[in-house]
Amino acid sequence: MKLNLSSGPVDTDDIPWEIHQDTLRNKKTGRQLPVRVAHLQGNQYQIWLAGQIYEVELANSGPRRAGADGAKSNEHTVKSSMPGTILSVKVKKGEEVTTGQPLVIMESMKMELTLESPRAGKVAKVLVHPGKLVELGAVLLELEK
Amino acid sequence: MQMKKVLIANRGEIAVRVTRTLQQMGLVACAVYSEVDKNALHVQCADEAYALGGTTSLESYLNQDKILKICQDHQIDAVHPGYGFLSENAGFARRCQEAKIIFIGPSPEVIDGMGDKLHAKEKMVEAGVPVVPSFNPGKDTSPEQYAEEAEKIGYPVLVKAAAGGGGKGMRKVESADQLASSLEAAQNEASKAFGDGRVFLEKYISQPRHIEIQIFGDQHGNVVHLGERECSIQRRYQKVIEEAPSPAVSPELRKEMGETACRAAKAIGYSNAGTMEFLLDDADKFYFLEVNTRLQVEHPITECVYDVDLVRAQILVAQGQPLPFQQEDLKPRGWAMECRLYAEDPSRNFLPCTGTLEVYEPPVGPGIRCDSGVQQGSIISVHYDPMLAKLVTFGHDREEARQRMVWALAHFPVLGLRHNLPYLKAVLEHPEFIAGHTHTHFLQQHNIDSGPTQVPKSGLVALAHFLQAQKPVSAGTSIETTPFQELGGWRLLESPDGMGGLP
Repeated sequence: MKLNLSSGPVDTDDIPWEIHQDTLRNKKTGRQLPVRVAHLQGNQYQIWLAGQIYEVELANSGPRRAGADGAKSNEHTVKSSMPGTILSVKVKKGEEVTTGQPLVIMESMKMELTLESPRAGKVAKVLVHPGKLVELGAVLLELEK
Repeated sequence: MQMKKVLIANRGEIAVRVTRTLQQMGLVACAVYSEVDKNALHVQCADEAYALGGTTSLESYLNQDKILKICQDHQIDAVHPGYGFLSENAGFARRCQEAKIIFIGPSPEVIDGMGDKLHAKEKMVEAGVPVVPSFNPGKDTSPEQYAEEAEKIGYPVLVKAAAGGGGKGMRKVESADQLASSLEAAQNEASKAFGDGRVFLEKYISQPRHIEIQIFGDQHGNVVHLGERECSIQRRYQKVIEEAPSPAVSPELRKEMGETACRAAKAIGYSNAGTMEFLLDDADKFYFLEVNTRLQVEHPITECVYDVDLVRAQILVAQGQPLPFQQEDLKPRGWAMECRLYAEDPSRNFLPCTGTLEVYEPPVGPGIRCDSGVQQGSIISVHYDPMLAKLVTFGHDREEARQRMVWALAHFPVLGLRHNLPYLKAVLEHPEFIAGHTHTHFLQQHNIDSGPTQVPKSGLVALAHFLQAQKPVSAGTSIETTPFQELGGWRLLESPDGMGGLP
């Protein structure tokens, strides 16, 4: 079978392992490894193989949801770097902010996280309010371009 | 008074663990649950279950009115608070008492007294327990006085919250010029976290071990200790790996620390399970940190080493019976370790992770115990603690327990969200951990590599098999209902153009 991974195509027929239930067996040497596979998020899959966990991403031509890599704030937007609840918004629309200034405080699983401004600028939009539940990678605030 | 029905005012693994013992003792175990927990494991295990409603902790597991109402409506004799939530809430313990419901824990007076860290410390000094050199300021202490006292203690010093816990409101101050700003930051953090901005100064001990003594008292004035647990492997003051006994504690030191803890516990009239936390420096000097007036998360390692069921003992003592064990019967044997499985992503600075546990298969075998609060299919939400389970191993000696833990971690598939299991295994295999050179800065100081990231080719065979087993999506089906559909435009297997989905 041909797999189209984000790192490039792979033909699994060329790999000398076969799967029996939850076990991989090497066709030549007979070596066995326990294995499990699950969907993680977006195009990402987790492979548990003999006690190690690997993540594999499938190549995608369609729309994708924000995974961990889509959760990075950039120059103009501040995104949630974890799923959680907004505790407070420290700035208002139109306010001038400096680099590193705390903008939004959120909480997940009893852990607090302060999201800081990626640069100096003016707040263009505030998209959340205290109490709002947000997903990983949700845009919380925009700065003027 | 003989109990019949016990309500567990908690969730997750501790609620499941308490349920087991209650059932073994022939008692009726009653669960309570929030809206999001209605299908949780602790609810399924219980003999009776009552809804608290709500999603946040305040609306549910901290809702004293609702919990007490359930107790009264359903003839419940006692409440086991577990740890966290209402377990160290003296007000709740008092309300239980007034409602003639047994609170399984120490008296409200003891909880009150030990909950305030400044007060607890004073009590310990009175009982002759060594404490870390410190300064407790009054209401009008000036910054100059703080600076003077910090000089007396000697830098580095710690600024700590009086009502604190979990590292909140805590700051390490290296030198005099940082003191003023650290005081202000800690006071701010403390008043936000605990509604109490009082802070105090304490000597900072470099590379200490966190050693805690399990104590147990009854209502007849008897107090025993069940040796120590070492909990030095911590991140941001959150314990990650614990072991009992400690590689640093000799039988003589154990006796000394144990007797000191018992003396202090007697002085404050302690009953039921409790823990005295100490710092141990490299000269075998120990300093009192705090008393936890509840069952600890890491209690199973003590249960292994002393062959006792601490929850059973809690129930007996709460019924007014004498302690089920005497000091001379309590002899440690073997070695136990505990790893805490957290839904936290080590690759992203341990931020919490949510999702569905698609695969969850706890290991079994000799000397292995897994206290889980979840099962395969459980949804991990943002609302509660990120701890999923505690994996405990037991062996004749430290190395056997460690090897069993390494094996157990390697045979514990957990998929569907990111977690710290590979990280735990890396710590267990670190040469300094193997050598027993543990201290509270271990995880900060040592670079823990949680393993390779490039998937072996064999793993891709399994991935292909997994994808093949999933049903393809027909055109026009709405996106966002099953994980497969989140693949968007990705196509599997032989497509009509024979390209197998390749571009």
